Amino acid sequence: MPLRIGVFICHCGTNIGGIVDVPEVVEYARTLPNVVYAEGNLYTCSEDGLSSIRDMIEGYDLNRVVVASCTPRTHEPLFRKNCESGGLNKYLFEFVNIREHCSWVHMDRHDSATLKAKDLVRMGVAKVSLLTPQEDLTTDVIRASLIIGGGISGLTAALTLANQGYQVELVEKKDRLGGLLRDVNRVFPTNDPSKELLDPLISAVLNHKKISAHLGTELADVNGFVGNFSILLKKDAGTEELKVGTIILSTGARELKPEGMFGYGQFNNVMTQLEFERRFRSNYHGLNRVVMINCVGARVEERTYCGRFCCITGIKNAILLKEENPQTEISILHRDIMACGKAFEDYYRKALQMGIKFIRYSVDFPPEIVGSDDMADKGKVYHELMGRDVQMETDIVLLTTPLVPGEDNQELSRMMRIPVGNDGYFLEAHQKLRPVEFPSDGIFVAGCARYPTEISECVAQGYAAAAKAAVPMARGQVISDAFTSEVAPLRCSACGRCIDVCPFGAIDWNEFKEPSGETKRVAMVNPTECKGCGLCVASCLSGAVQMRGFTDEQILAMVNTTFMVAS
Amino acid sequence: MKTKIKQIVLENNLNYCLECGKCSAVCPMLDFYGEYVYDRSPRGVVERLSLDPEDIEDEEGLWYCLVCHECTFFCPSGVNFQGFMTELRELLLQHGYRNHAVFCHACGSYLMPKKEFENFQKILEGGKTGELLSVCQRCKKNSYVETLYKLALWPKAKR
Ligand SMILES: Cc1cc2nc3c(=O)[nH]c(=O)nc-3n(C[C@H](O)[C@H](O)[C@H](O)COP(=O)(O)OP(=O)(O)OC[C@H]3O[C@@H](n4cnc5c(N)ncnc54)[C@H](O)[C@@H]3O)c2cc1C
Ligand code: SF4
Ligand code: SF4
Ligand code: SF4
Repeated sequence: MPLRIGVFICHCGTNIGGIVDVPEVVEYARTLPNVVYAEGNLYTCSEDGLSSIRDMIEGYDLNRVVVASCTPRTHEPLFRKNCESGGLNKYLFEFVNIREHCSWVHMDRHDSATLKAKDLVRMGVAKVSLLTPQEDLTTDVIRASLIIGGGISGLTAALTLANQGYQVELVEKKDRLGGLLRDVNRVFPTNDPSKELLDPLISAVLNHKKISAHLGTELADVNGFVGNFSILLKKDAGTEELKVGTIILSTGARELKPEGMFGYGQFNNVMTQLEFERRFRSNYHGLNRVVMINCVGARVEERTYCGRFCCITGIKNAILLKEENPQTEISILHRDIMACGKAFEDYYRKALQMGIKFIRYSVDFPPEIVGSDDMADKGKVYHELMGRDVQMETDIVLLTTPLVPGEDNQELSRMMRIPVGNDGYFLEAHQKLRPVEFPSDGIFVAGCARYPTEISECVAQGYAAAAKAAVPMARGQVISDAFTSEVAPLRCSACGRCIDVCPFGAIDWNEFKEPSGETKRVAMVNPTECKGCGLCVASCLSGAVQMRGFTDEQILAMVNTTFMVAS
Repeated sequence: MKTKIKQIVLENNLNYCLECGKCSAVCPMLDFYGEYVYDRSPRGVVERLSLDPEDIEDEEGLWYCLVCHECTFFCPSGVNFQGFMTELRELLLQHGYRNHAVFCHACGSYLMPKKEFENFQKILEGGKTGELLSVCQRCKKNSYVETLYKLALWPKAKR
């Protein structure tokens, strides 16, 4: 069937129309090969514009559509869908950006901008001529979720999904659920015992018929893609296989053990906040003088981040000590107090009002802890403004350390092909807009695995990750874009470069039967896992990999036409 | 006296200090004296006394504050430094620490810190203005009334 191309050029109000001479570009488009219809629209994305596209597909029997307007980031799905409702395969549509790529960057050069818009439209027309119809890929989703890590984040996510009716496989490598919070005594800023939060959650999880808890179990391997992951678990010597549709990672973090700092490891009465909470619970007998040092191992060169809630942890323990015995003398040596959380500032104020002393130290003059034998008995800190040392006797020294990334993060990152940031925590897809997702579909993150977060944030993220994971499971199917890469097996030389570069693990080896009857090993793309990034295409030395919708032929057609002079 | 000092330190919330330094930033001591050091600044005194509320001697540094209220107004945490200074000085005077203060020439009541007085004199270039300064408000009023009376402008019954 001969090509019949329609071109729709948008003014975008004055965004484009105020700079580019749209009517002139429309006129020009009419002269391009196989263009049977062209029009300008005030807003192509408005209902007027959209219905015009649908009507012209019908009236002019269009079999290709080009829209020259803004950015495909926001508008491509809309126009594709519109073509589909107009009766055209939605992959026979080409988007040309004459706003970000043209009018916005050439605001003061109207003539050249118009010329460039013509060039861009000509390139779009050249490409659309070579597009072929494609079908979306659909895959069934297994209605079960794997949750890795049974801390408060994982427990929350597990219950949320199970209560919605999905099967949950909760994997915890320790023999007990609860994570870090097991060792925490009471929780800020309410001072409730952590048991009161944790125990009901744990028993609800253990008794839920939709949740199977795999304790003392670790992950051995993860394969597959959203909707259809194969999981290999290992417990003791045995292994177990599972099939799930989605994965939530909630493996938490660890408290930093500050070996060799401030007498840690040397004096028996120097310990971290968590060790203190575990050891002393609420029997503070004999602790009349307490020194705490904040930011131990945090906000320094080798670990630049702030632990976010460790200041409040120290304040919590100081308040608990003071409530038990108001005579206790407590000095908190800090660099700044981070009390930015709901009700935290009031909690800090309460500590000040109770007479807990806060003394600022400078990172250039760290405090000193001195003692004899295996007991520390004195803290010394240089007061920068007073210009002298301040000393305090002490019965115990508590070091406030930040959380550090879980020890399995690198291994998990490799296994599931999910990124880890510079600080060693898992890196979400977008810090602001996609905080519990990964770039790979179907895998989500919650809690301290992502960054130090206190309980309420862990719980919120547990809910969020569960809600996100429920989406594909509720739909029952995932639909993915047809623009994925494919390997021409005859050309593939089996070098494996594409397999190495694919950030999503979408390419694997496969057997291929050559026309001669011989079988050979070739790379093969799993379209459901491919995100269409194109790295494999660029890496292939044999030219065997092509990206649907961005084939060499299509791109070269655009390049060739670029250098034709528009008149 | 030490316990009393501790009490007024706590009553005026010196231990609420967040070490932010706003008080010292707004304090007019620099403008007034042409010099300013941490130890005499509100923050310096607050920080020192938060560490040890009894750490006070008969020192000149405690007599620079102009009790203008700026620091107290701006403190985000509710430290009442001006109130503390007023009460502390009363306490020191009660205990006979009078070296750093000036008293009314007429009645002998406390007038202002010696430092402040000297600086006023310097600014006003001594002379009569200096003399005027050295009498408290009430005595000034009394001597005014006295003058009026002498001039027979003040009815006797009202005295
Ligand atoms: C000293 C201290 C005091 C605190 N006090 C408070 C407080 O008062 N109030 C407050 O709100 N917050 C407090 N917190 C923070 C709170 O403990 C955390 O926010 C919370 O426990 C984190 O929960 P999580 O589920 O994200 O991670 P975690 O509790 O760390 O749970 C992660 C779980 O995953 C498991 N796991 C790890 N790797 C794997 C793997 N490869 N396979 C399977 N399982 C794995 C771990 O064994 C663990 O059980 C405190 C933290 C500390 C250190
Ligand atoms: S929360 Fe406080 S103690 Fe922890 S790293 Fe940040 S500033 Fe330091
Ligand atoms: S303004 Fe208040 S909180 Fe800030 S340093 Fe001064 S006394 Fe302390
Ligand atoms: S009251 Fe005293 S310390 Fe406070 S701003 Fe005034 S002069 Fe400075």
